[in-house]
Amino acid sequence: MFGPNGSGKTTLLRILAGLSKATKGKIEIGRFSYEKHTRALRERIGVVGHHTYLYDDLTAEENLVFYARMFGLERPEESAGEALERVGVYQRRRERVRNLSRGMRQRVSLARATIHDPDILIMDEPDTGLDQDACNRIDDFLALSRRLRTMVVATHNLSLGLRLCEGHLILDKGHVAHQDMAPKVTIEELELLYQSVTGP
Amino acid sequence: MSTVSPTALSKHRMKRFHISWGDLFALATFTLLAISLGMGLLYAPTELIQGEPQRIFYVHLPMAIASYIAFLLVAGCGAIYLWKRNPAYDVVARSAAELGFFFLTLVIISGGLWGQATWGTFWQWEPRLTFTFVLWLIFVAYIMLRHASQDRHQAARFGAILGIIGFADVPLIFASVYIWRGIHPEPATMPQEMFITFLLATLAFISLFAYLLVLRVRWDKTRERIDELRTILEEQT
Amino acid sequence: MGSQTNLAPRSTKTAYLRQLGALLWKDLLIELRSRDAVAAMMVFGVLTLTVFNFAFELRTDSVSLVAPGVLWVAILFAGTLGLGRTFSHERERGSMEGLLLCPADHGTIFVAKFIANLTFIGAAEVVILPIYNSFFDVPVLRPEVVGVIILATIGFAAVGTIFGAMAVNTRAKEVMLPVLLLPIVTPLIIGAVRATGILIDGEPLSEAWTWIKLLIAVDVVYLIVSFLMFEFALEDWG
Repeated sequence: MFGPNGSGKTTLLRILAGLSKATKGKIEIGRFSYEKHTRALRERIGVVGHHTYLYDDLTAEENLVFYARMFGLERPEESAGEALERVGVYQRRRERVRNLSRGMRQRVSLARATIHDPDILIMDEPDTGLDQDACNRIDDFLALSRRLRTMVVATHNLSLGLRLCEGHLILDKGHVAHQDMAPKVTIEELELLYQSVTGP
Repeated sequence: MSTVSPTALSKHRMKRFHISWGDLFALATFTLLAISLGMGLLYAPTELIQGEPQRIFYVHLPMAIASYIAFLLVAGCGAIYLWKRNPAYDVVARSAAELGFFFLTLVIISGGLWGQATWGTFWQWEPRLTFTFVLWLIFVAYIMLRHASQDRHQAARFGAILGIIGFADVPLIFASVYIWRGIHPEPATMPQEMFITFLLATLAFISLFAYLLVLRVRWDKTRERIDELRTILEEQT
Repeated sequence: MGSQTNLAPRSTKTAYLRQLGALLWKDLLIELRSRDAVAAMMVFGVLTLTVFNFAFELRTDSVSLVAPGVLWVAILFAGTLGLGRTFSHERERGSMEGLLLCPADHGTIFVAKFIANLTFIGAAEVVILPIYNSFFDVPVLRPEVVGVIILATIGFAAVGTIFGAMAVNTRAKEVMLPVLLLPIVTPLIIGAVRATGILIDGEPLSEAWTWIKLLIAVDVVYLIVSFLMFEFALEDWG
């Protein structure tokens, strides 16, 4: 999902994640809707948002164990450890989240979002505020994720979007300005398209 | 709850006098008010113990009853809003709350005036006043809560929650306040003239409340429509 | 759909209890580490008692008349302060949204928050009561009195939990909670002060029974209504 600030990306993602209710229309994921199948959907969706959803006063490990328990995982401590290893934060797992850098917190957040092996991973600008190094580390993880689950990503980074997802939407002022589910565009073409569609 | 729209009203005009149903309702309300106030002042007998100041009750009590109806509407419409999510119910709820607050303020003031005339003090922590005051505080909390909400939807939801909790609380407040002062409210026996006056006055003030409520709801809808039009205009430029 | 090896089906009741346990453990652990709410409540409660001591010493020698009121003002004000804090840290890193994304019922979240709040206020009371006992020389540390205090605190924590969740999302956070809470808990205040007063005067439990019945009714109503309304308070969080 591309689009300038205020175009509605976050709102749409929140509705997809079941955090907000749509004022008009319906959301269906597979055959599921949030009204009838809240539990089933929550078990299969992971979300990385603007907030990390982590508790500052708990360690990375404790945060993950908590979420593992909330998702009803059989062996929460093991799952937490594995998740942290996958994002490369295992060494720092006993540190309080408060003391971790932004990049590390984002990685822990990714671990949190994928600990229950969701079918869909929703991400709202996962690369915001991260330096190049942190971005690279996340890239690898996301590339791996891409093979395991459906990714719904909102980002300003056109190349990231192209790499992670098969189709794209361009939002503008709350509308879908352009949509292509199987595009064969290069990044330059996409940039031109973006400019023309979002306009002055 | 249906609202009388301006266009619907104009359809029912009595051609000769250009009067609409809305006007008739207003006329009826104000006539009732005039009659009951007249009766309260002149027709009803003077109460033995309290004397003339007792007549304030022909205003005080009916307004209290109207406020209780307001509270009921706030809670009821709030609950229906949470269920159906139809904003019309919320408009009625918040309108009823404002009116209820206004009426209840007058109830407290009139009660105080009566107290001033009878006991010599404006305020007493006796059950009825205390109960009314706590209800008044809940109305205040409702208005403040809506005002402090971040958007319309939150205001409507939070208002509904407070309305429902408050409504469930009312019997508890009533019980606690009355047991606290060891007084059990007894049914009053009164001469027929007084009773008729009370009845009429209550009818009059409920009618007034309903009329003001309809006005307020219409005002609200008009304002929303204006906002809508404004947004559409802005989008086009 | 993808692999489900981690989501082995289990009875809903155990799942519910596990989640409740996880939520409770999380809140207690955070409080233990940050000492945010409980410390503030204890300090504020004791300060209130101190102020009352100065406020009344000069005018009344019959402290026993005001004693129960003083205690409850201290508990209520301290409690209101604490209730505000337990939800404000859910806002910081958006953690409440994280909770809402989990497959957990709102009811579970409510019960966990309620128990946590009850525990925190209780912890503050553990400090406030003995100090109150010394300051005012009033026998509050007896089982009947403590029982009444616990009873009243339960109802207070119940509405306090839902109002706390609401207030933290409004624009006037700190002010909103007392404005909402205090008028609503009027029956609780009256019942608690009266029952406490009767008992510390040395009267038997039977004298306070009407008030205790009132408190029980209050607790039941508050718990049920708060539980039912909680999901609406969490909707569109943030």
